[in-house]
Amino acid sequence: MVRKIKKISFLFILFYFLALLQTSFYLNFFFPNLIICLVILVSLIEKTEGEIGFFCALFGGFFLDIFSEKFIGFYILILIAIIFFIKIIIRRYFELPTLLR
Amino acid sequence: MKSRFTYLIVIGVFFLFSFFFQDEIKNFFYNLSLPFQKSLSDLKFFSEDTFKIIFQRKEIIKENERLEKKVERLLTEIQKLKDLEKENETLRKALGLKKKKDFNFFLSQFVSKSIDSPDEILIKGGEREGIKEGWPVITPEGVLIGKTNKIFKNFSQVKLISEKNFSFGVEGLNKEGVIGIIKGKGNLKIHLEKVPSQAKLEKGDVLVTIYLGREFPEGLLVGKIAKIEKSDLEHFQSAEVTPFFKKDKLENLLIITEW
Repeated sequence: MVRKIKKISFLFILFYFLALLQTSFYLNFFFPNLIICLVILVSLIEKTEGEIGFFCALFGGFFLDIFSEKFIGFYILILIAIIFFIKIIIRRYFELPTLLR
Repeated sequence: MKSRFTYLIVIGVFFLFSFFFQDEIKNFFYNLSLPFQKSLSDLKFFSEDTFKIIFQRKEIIKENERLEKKVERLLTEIQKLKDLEKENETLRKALGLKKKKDFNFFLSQFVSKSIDSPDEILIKGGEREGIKEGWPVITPEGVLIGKTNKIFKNFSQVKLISEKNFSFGVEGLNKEGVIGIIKGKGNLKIHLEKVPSQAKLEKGDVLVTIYLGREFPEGLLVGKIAKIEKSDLEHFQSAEVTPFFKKDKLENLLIITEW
C-alpha cells in the first residue's frame, strides 16, 4: 500500500514538473506535448491490466486542464479514453514487448 | 472489479468537486507554480544569454557600438521633443484646449504560456486587484498584446491579438487613408483586411490602433506590413502583418484600466 502511494505521488510530481516545463519554456520550433507523449508511452509499455496508465492519464489530464483554458475534466476524459482505447487494441490484436510487465 | 468501482467513485467525487471550484483550484496551482515558473524562465533567459555571448561575441560588440551611436542621436531628439512639448502646451493653453487624456494602467508580469494554445498567456493580477474582462494588455513600449479574458483571484488569462476571431480597427502611422481591420489567424499570426484598394499600402508600414468601438485606446503599436495582397478585381486589399510583440521576450506588462 505504501509502495503504491509512493508510486502515485511520484507520478503526480512528475506530471506537475512536466506541465511547468511545458508552460515556462517557449520554443520557437515545434515541440511535442510532453504530458500526452508520456501518457501514450506508458499505456504502450504497461501490461494491459496495469493501473499506472490510468493514474498517468488522471494526473496528466489534470495538469493539462489546469494550465489551459479548458474546464477541469476535459483532458482527463480524453486521456483516459485514449488509454482505454490503446489497451483494448493491444489486448485484442497484439502484444508489445514491455518494460513494465 | 472492486478496485475499478473505487476508481470510478474517486473520479466522480473529483469531477463533482472540481466542477464547483474550477477557478479556485486553478488559482491555487498558479500561485503554487509561480516561483518555479519564475526560476525556469530566468534559467531560460540565462542559458540563452550565455550561448549568445559565447557564439555571437563579435556581433554583440558591433551591435553595442551601433546602439551607443543611436542612443546619442535619440538623446538629441528627446531634447527637441521636450521643447516641442512645451511649445505645444503653451499653444493649447492659449487656444483653451484640454490636454489629451493619458490612460491609467496596472503593472503586471508575464507568468506562463498556455499549455495547449500558442495565443494565450497567463499574467499576474486578477479579481483581487480589480482587473476586469476585456481590458487591453500592452508592453511598457506601448505595443498591444491582447486583452484579458478569464479573470482568476490573483491571475488573468490574456487572449493575444493573434488568437483566431480576434479583430479590431487599425490605421497606418503617418499614412493617410490606410485604415483596416486586423484579424487574428492563430499561431501568433495576424492579417490586415478591408483596406480600401486606393490606399497606398507599403511594405514596412507601421500599424497602430484606432479608437473604434472603444475597444482599445488609439495609438497603440500593433505591427508592420510584411506582404501586401492586392487584386485589381477586388475593392479591398489585405496584407500579412508581423506583430511587434515577441512572445518569448515578454516580462513586464501593463493592463490598461481606463482609457
